[in-house]
Amino acid sequence: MRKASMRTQLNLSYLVISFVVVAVFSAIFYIYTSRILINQETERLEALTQTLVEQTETAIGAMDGVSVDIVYISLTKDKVQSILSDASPTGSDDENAVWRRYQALSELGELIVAVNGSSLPVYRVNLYDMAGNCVSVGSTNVVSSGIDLPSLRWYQAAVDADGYKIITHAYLSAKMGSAESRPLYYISLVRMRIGKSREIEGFIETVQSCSVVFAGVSALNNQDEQVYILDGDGGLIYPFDGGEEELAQANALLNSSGGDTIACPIASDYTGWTYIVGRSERVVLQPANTLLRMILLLSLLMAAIIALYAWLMSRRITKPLRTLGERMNATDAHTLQNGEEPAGRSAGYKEIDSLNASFEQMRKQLNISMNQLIETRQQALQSRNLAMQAQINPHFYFNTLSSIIALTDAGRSDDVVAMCRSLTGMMRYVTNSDPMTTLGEELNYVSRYLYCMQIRYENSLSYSIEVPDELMNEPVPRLIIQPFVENALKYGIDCAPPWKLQIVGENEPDCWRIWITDNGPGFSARALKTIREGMEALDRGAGMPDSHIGGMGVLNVYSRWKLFAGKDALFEITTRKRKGGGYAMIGKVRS
Amino acid sequence: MNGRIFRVLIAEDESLQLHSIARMVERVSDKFQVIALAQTGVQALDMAEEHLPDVVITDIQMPQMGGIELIEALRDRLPGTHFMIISGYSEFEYAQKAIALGVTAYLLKPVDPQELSDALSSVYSTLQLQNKAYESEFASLIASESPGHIANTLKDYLCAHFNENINLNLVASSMGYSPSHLTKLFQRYHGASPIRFLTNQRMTKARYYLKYRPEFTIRQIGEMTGYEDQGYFSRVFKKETGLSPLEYRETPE
Repeated sequence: MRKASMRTQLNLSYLVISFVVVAVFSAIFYIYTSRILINQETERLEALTQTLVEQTETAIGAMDGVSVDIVYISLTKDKVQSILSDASPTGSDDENAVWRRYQALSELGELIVAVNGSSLPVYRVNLYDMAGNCVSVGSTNVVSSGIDLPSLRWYQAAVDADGYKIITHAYLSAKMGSAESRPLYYISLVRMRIGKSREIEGFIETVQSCSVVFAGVSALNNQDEQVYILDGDGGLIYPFDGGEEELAQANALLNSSGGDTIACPIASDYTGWTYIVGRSERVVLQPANTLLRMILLLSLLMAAIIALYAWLMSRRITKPLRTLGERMNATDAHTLQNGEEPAGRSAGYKEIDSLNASFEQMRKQLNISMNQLIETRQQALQSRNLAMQAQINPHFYFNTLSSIIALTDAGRSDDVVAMCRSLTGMMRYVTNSDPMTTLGEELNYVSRYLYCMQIRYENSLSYSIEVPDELMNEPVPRLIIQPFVENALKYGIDCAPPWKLQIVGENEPDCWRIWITDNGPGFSARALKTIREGMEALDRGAGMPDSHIGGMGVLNVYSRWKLFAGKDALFEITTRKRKGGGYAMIGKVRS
Repeated sequence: MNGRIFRVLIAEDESLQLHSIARMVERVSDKFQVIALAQTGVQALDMAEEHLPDVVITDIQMPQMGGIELIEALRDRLPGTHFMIISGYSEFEYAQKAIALGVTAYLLKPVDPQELSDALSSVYSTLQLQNKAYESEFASLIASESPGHIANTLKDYLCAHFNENINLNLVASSMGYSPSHLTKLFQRYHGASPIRFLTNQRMTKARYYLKYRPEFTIRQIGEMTGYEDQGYFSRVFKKETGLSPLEYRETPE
């Protein structure tokens, strides 16, 4: 499985967190808002329905009022009676009869107007008698006869109501009015007139245009509301042309099971109707939905911004990390040594800065330890080089060979053999590549050297080596004593023979020392000064001085001895004040 | 006097070599006799003044006084002495100095007997030639004249040949004296050793030339007064008069 990068992880978690937060907020907000909206809408619908009830019932009430007035005014009855009696069922009226009827109708109209006020609150009033005659009063006054009452749609209902009002369903009619070409919906209120002896005298029908009765509904209908009006028998009053579907919907609303539609049905005792104003929840919740959509859109946008921000942030975090990684990768022996210092370049985060600082620290320490390692190796190399330099002057071999010739010449073959043995031993010793040896080996070498020298100088030179056996195993760099001896034989015999050389070892509990003394004139003040300056220069780390100055051998030994023994090194070179002669001491503190 | 044996001083710090060279000298030539062995330059100088050798064979590197220094010192005191160098060093610097000092031979260690023999033969020829000249000059004097006459004869010879390289060893032997005897004899009559007298002669001439013969260069004056090496002349002149030849010439009277 591929490991997700820190950056991707960061991005993903940012996104998921932001989405969860937005979703939870949106849900809570939606639920809360929709509840408020639905409550508000329910209240509003209740008020609307109430208003609708009042408006409609007022119109119906007006129709009823007209009807009741006519019933209770006997004058009208008489007037109607006179009109109807003048009417000829056959239509063969003479002109006089027509005029009288017209007169009577006018009077009836005026009468009804007088009863009901200046204007008739209904579209038309139809007065029927049982003989099938009808007087219509309203916009136009008409008398008609020969009407088959039982065939009228409200007849049976009006008879059953026995003097109480009945209200018909809306119906289409084009016949009413004078110049009507288009059929309109009308609604009628009918009441049966009952005589004193409970005989049926006739019917009063007050007709009103539906647009007047249901003016409130029309106003509502422009909006999203669904309006239904049911009569007491469950018939659909409104919409007028409603079919089964509307009826079912109305009944569903009535039973509060209108699905996603809210409604507050109100039943009226006056008309026996049930008013239902419904509104789709979808519409009600439209603002909430819009808001929700906006929120979702915004949150998407926000998520995008957050994602971008997170990306940038993570980049800001991961970039220094990557840079650090690249630097770590690029770190090798070369860049470690002279790696550019990125200090001052801050990633802007404490953690990464400290990581950077740690790496920098590590790099420096690594550099230091590597330098130390290199220095140690260089010192070892230098030590070997110095040991090479410390090797005997080639003139020694040269002079020794000359001496061998001289010995052979003199017939001293035993001395020749001894000298050759010494020489081979010495050569074996100096050609050994191990820079370290023991004091015993070194002194053995020195004694061979001195033996060769004594053969050459014969009785002019005497020497002694007195070193305790316990010191023989002390480790020392190769050729650490020999240069003193060579030096002593070069400068320490600048006087008349005999020449004496002494090597004395001293073993003490805390240190050991080797003295090399001669009986010569000692070091000159100038030579001592040069040597001591050279030693100080070496202590400062200034390196070996130019190899052609005097005292090179001594400085060489000093340098190597310091490299080997460090602080434990004991070293002294001077001229003995009382006895005279050169005096050199090399030693080591036991640590 | 063909049988005359010339005397050799050897200076070498390594005694093995010293004796080895001494044996070799006597082996390769019967004309030379080793009369002194020195292990340091200072010893060599003392011995040379005591024994007045004809030939000095010296090492270059020696305690107290090196071979070059030794030759410089002896050249003043023992004019006519032949010098040979035996060295382990073949460096040009030493060879150059040796030539400037008029060294007869520069032999490298280990010494080849043939080379030593050739060098000694060459020295012997030169000495033999000089010896003949002196013998013909002083042959008539042999054992017949009074000491005063001998001293005067030598004085006249020195005055006439002041600008030549005079080997007093040979002069003495050609007169039948030892060099030291002749020196003492001369000193008795003339208040100075022959070398001192000769040097005084040379300095008088040199002063005269420097003052009144401006057409000669200092080198020429040196050569005219018996000093082939100008540096040597200047050094001797300064030692004698306290002034260098040039300073003396430019000092108004």
